[in-house]
Amino acid sequence: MTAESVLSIQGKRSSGTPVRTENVIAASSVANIVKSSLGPVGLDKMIVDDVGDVTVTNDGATILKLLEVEHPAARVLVELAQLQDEEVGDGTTSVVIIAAELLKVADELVKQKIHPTSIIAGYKLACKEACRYIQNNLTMNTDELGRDCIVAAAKTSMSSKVISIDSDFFANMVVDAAMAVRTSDGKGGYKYPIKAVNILKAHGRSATESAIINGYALNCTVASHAMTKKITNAKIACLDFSLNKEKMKLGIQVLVNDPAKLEAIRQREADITKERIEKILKAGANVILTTGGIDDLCLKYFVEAGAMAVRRCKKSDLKRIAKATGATFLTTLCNLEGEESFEPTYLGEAAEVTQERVCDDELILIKGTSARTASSLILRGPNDFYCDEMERSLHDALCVVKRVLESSSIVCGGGSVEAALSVYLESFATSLSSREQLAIGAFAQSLLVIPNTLAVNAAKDATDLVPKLRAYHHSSQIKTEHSQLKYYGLDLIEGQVRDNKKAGVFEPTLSKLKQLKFATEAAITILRIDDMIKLEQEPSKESGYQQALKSGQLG
Amino acid sequence: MECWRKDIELSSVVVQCRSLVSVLEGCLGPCGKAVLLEKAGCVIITKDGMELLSHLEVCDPLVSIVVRGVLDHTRVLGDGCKATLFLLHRLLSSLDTHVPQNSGTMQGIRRQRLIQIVQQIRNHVLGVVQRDVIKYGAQVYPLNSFEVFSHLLHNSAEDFFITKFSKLIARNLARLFSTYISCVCSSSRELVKLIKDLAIKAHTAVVEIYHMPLMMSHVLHGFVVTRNFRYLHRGMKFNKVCCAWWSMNLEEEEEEGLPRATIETSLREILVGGILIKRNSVERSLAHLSSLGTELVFSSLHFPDWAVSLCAKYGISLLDSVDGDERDFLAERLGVLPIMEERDVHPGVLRSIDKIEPLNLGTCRFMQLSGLGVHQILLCGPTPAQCRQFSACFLQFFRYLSSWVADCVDFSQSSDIYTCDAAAAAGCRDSFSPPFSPDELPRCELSPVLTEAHSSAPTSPTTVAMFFTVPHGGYGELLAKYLVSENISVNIKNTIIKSVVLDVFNELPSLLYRKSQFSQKSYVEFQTKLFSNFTELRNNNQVMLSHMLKDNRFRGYHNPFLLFKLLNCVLHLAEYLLRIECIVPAKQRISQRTRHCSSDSESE
Repeated sequence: MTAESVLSIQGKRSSGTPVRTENVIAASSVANIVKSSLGPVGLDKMIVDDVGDVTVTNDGATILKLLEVEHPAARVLVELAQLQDEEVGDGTTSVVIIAAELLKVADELVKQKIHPTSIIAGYKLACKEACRYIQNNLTMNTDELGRDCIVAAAKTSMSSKVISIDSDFFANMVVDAAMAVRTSDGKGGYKYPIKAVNILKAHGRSATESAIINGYALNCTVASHAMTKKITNAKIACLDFSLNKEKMKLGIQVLVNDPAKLEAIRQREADITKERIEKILKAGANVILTTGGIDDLCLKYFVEAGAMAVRRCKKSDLKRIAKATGATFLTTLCNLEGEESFEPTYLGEAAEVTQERVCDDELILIKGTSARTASSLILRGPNDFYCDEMERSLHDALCVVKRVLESSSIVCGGGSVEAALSVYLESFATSLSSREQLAIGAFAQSLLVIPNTLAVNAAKDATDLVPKLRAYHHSSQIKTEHSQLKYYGLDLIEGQVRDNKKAGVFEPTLSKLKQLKFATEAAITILRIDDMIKLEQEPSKESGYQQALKSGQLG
Repeated sequence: MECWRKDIELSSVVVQCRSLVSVLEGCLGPCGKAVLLEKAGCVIITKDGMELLSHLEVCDPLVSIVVRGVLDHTRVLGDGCKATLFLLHRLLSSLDTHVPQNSGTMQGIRRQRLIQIVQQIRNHVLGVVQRDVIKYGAQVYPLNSFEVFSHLLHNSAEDFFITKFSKLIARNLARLFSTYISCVCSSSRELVKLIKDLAIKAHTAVVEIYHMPLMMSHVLHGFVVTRNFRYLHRGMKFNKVCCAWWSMNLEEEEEEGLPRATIETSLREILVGGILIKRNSVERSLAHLSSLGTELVFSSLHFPDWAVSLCAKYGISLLDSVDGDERDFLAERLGVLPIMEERDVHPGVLRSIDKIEPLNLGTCRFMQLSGLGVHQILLCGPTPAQCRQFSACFLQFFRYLSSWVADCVDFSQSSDIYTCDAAAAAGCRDSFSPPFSPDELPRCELSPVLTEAHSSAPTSPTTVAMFFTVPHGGYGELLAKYLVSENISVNIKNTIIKSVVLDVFNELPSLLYRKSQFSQKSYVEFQTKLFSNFTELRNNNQVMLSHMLKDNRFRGYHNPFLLFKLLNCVLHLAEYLLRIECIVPAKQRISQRTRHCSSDSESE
């Protein structure tokens, strides 16, 4: 093993054990940041940036995203958290903690002169075996347990968040919202596109005054007071351009020598938009939503036609509305022939579009959408930060509900799965005669970090609780009459071991499987590194002007 | 490679809240004094907590969360800005003193303990105490009796304004308010609807008039446009005025960088014609309007002088630069279509206004339109700043009323009131005895709707009939304190939780009494007397705990739900603050250590 040596290019190279150790330290420092927010009794972090903007959150992915992590190995963990967030939406903190722990024990093994490739092979084998064991032994089918278990899974996801105290209220709300957007995937199953659940935030009032609304709520009002505020059998046009008076584009100069022609040009400018509006109205549209502006002149045409026009909608909202109502989101009226036209097929349909006063705000509600159903959640909280954190928590919970509904399989939470896996993998390791045995043992050991951290965060005696939990799982795996003990997990409020199936602490199976796979892969990626070359930019000491002055280019 | 973080100590949060409280403490309640705030040369004199807080610049991230939370909440409720902050400070400091900090235990454990206490108070104590305070202490009035309702509103308006301004001003403002409601509404149903509407658009009710004493304020039948005639045609009749709404652009919009059609000519006639294009088209429209019999043109745009002279030419009076809110209101009321281009001029755009007359008050020259079926409060103030304060206060008061009425309706519809036993229901009925003398108002009998409400199903919409009030001066808080300390409504076994709850309920009355020069000793004596009076009344099996003592009596009408709304917000905020474990600066670099790897020599 050689030490660092100066290369002929500017930079440093280091290889061997120091690199690995350094990577492991970087990874654990990232894990340490998020560690204390794990579990139902984890606390929040307040992140303040240089201009004083504040984010208060408990979500691992959000915390790590806001920190600027520069170390390459630590970056892998940050990306890992983001990946888990995108794929599952929940369990971001756990995945980082597991990955860091895997690295830590691997580093110990390497110090005992075990080659990293053996460890990597052992980790791969252990991960595969663990996933197989979860799927065969630990999962439960939600169809047998009914809606209660879905609500319970949502509650488990919220338990670590700021809304934990009202989790009964919000869990039911989330499940209702997810159920409302159910669509068939064409193969007999259902999909739950949770993006169709629109979350609006309004501050003031307490959190329990949040409400769920059937239909799509849009945080805008009609463009003119003279417009009608309620339309039944709405035909909706979604546009992505402004309906303002057309202006000549840059680079055109028209020279005329008759003032009447000048006036004609102006008239024509106004008429272009008018014709567009007439085309849209002629197609039967009575609700026009646009991302751009509509000027007063054009508003008049809509008022006269008795239509409802809403300007400055958010693009993401309109895209979703277009999907829900079956409308086409148009960026231009031009067709392939280069002429402007508006087909009635571009229109979406809804039973009713109204402007209503919900809570203290006027909102536009689109009810009875034809293509898909939609639902909206209106969140109330004492301030913006609280609402933001509520939104993040509800998003996680919605993801969990979606995963549970789509896969209809859940496992017990509260460290139950990890404890069971660690017991199982240890006995599996002893059955192997190859050198992977040690690595699998280490893998089993490192999974215990989840129950340990949970217990430590809850200020309970981890050295007392975790062995007790392992003993339960051991007996469930060797004695068939004790097989029900496999659902045992930690009760962090009372500091006991309890049956988490009865207590209703559930997590989606998918979340656990992905956690294990992602964490193992990230750990392997970092373990494989044994050489690091860092290039340093040559610092330019003088500015271009001074260089030029020196070389005599300037007189 | 350690991440920099700063742990948040609860005691430092308390200290920071304390500094905010000390700023606001002086102006609490009717005896509070106003605060002079100077900011960039601009002087603000106010007693209003919301105005003060929003002008303070808070740098600490944690305190700024508190301030924003309090302000947002008050903006919805309309009142209780200072009270929220005091309660929050008391809650946190009481938690800090009652839950000791052991050096042995972790910070996180203590936090968990505190969060649990806050959650328990919110879930198990608050709701029950609210129900019982209303059961024992609230006076109940039928909402459908308009006289009683408006009398209550008048008194509560006076009490509300007295916490913001001096007694004389408050009396005037309250009088204005009650005149206004008696002009606009004739039944409770209308009044409830009016209050709900006003909470979002107060500007339709209040017109500010500067440089006039407040005494001159009055309620006016009609709608005021806060502009004077730009041009008044000689001999125009003010009755049955035929008017139109002008929205055609008059100014050339010059946009930088945008090319436009240009006339290139040296012929004089064409040049002149080019300059007059706009003028000619405006002239044609005005001529057309004039031929249709238009006498008056409204516009929210500014008319340049040449356009005014055109109006004069055709004998049309002009009222331009009308405010946006007034424009929206008129457009909705009159159903008038704006003239956007030349072809819009047709008889369909004309509307008739019953009467229009100039209104000259102080330095203001305004127009008053009649026949729109509206009333407005003309609110006079010596200086613009004061006048704005008055109208802002009106807006707050409308919000406060709206949330009060909404809460009463919610409470009457909720099952809470039916879970109270029959005695309590009887108590509600017994308590209905107007505290004012019968000569003042006709004696109100229990309406059929109200009596029905006690027996019928809770979901029926006719149960909307009751209005709950408690007297001012910390009566609600003291009653709540009594109910908790005597274990009447809720039996809190945990002594820490109990003492925290008692501390919080004690905060506002003790501050109020300190304000009115009571010594601590006399306050305690007063409290003991009050509590023993409560006990006596309870022993006599009276459900209603009277708010009268021999020599001291609580007066006024206050929203009984407000205290609990505020407490709910305070507990939410407190829980939120307690959950924050540390401050982590964003964008901090977790980078490679600058340590040189020197350990390799050992391994070699």
